[in-house]
Amino acid sequence: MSNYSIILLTVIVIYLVFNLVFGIYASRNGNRAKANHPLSEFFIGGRSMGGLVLAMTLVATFTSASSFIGGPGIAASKGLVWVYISIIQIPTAFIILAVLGKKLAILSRQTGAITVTELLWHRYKSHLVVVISSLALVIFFVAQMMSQFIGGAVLLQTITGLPYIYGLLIFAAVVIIYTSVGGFKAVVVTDTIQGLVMVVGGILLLGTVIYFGGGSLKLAETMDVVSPSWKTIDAGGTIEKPYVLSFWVLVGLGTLGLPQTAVRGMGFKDTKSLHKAMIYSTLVMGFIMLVMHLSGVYAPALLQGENLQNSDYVVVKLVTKFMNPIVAGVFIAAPLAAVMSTVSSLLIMVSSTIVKDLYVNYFIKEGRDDKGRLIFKSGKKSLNIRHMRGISSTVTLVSGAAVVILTISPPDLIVWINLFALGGLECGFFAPIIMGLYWKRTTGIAAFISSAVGMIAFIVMSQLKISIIGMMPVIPALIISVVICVIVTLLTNKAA
Amino acid sequence: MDPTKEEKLNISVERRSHQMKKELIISLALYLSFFIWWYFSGYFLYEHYPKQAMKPILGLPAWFFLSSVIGYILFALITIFTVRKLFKDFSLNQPLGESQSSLNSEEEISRQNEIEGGGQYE
Repeated sequence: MSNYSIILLTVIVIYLVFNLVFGIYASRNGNRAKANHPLSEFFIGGRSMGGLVLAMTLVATFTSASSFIGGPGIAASKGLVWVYISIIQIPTAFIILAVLGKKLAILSRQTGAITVTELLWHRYKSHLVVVISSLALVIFFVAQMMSQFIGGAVLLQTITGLPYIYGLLIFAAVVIIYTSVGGFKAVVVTDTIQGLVMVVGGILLLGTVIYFGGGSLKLAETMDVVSPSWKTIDAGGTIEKPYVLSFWVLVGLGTLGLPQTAVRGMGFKDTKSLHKAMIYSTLVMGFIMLVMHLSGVYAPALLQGENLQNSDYVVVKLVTKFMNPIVAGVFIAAPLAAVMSTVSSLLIMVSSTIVKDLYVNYFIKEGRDDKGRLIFKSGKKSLNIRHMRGISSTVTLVSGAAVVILTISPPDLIVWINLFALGGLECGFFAPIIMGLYWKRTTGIAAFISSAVGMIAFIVMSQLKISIIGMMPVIPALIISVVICVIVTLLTNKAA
Repeated sequence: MDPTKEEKLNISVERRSHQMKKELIISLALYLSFFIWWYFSGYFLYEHYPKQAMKPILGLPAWFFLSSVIGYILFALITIFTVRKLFKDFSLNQPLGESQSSLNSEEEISRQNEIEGGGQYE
């Protein structure tokens, strides 16, 4: 490995260790940490998130490797329209907090729910809903985690030459350990660091591009020569309007159905934090999107003559060609941060589903011992708070390890599932969550059927490449899901 | 938080429910407005006033600058204004009122501390 790679790797390792240490430390701190119910503390941080943390965890969980590597790579060939599309995400965090924030916060406190599935239970009292949402969550999340791991490990390999397996093991270990040991608090605190790193990374990249490109005016001139369709709104006729408009659902309103964002509506401290988060998340999200994708747009001007295997290599090439190894190391921390924040959030939710919605729900009875302390009875055995914490950590660790093992030699099925993850989750959860929150009459059967139909419709349409008036399958599938929810409710609702 | 601060946040359930509805409508309106700005400064401008749409601002075509850069700044500013001036703080600890709650009626009773994190689905 070259000197360059070694220095770069060192910076990255330092960053990883910092996350590990800080994440675990932050989870120990907090005056209520000991006093809380162990599951509430581990899986929802005792509902203590402040404004900045809430904002950053939302943004960081939502932005993944695609915003840092994939997106700018596509922007390089499609031009400004790809930035135009990424802008759609600016109000996403705001609308999630606005539509779900206060209501979920109140409802979850009222019912004591710490997972989305649990909230759905209290709402619908339906085991069918619990089962389908737990299954969907675990399957899609595992697929998403795997693709994030692959993205991160490939990135490390491409930039530093570090063999895929080592890169994978190193940073997977870091994420899994701080998530298992520190729980939700570690996840959101490291998300906050990672969000800041992403902002810095964006500044570094765009700064580098503009500097080496001679300023934005000179860059524009070069781009006109190198890639004349960069300024067009349809990428020279290759990107149609209906396709673009569908993003308003996929990364806009549809995200209201994502359980990983909904759960954050259950974990913040007070309305003050929520309000602050609305502002911070908008500012940060918009900044990262604009800066990263714009850098990608300008890339062809700087990479003339370079032959790139695929668009993912655009950012890699920009970094290795123009940044010195320390700056590059700091920058690479950004997409790794995006990956880690996404994985940690999904991992904690998978283990919360296994521990709370399946294990505790069906096998444990809670009570108090003669000293008034919480105990958990499982058949004849009795578990205390420390046991429960241990179980939560262990399940998280094992789930993470399972994902890593699958990733070492990924079955094709996984890649297939991941394609459907975002849309599938949205179509599966949008109707149950939104209709459940805002329409009193929605029944459990309706939620179950609309969830199943939504996911199936989405997957079928994607596979068969059915596209209605040029829009992505997520739109018709979502509409079908909501309509079915309404119809079935009207048929099954017997409320006076 | 200390009891006096908590007191101030305890507005009546009806007032809170009314405030939440208000904020929801404002938020959706804000979202829609952003969409409209995005669409009109982008597609509409580009399709109907192509010459103006391509005029460079800082090297970037006007349609892009207006929709993406200005759009971002405007939305951020309006969000800050909306949240600071129009949204209100209130307690999250009181249960939802009858009109808002979509839970089954047995749930209306708050059983917070007992079941926080625990509880079976029965």
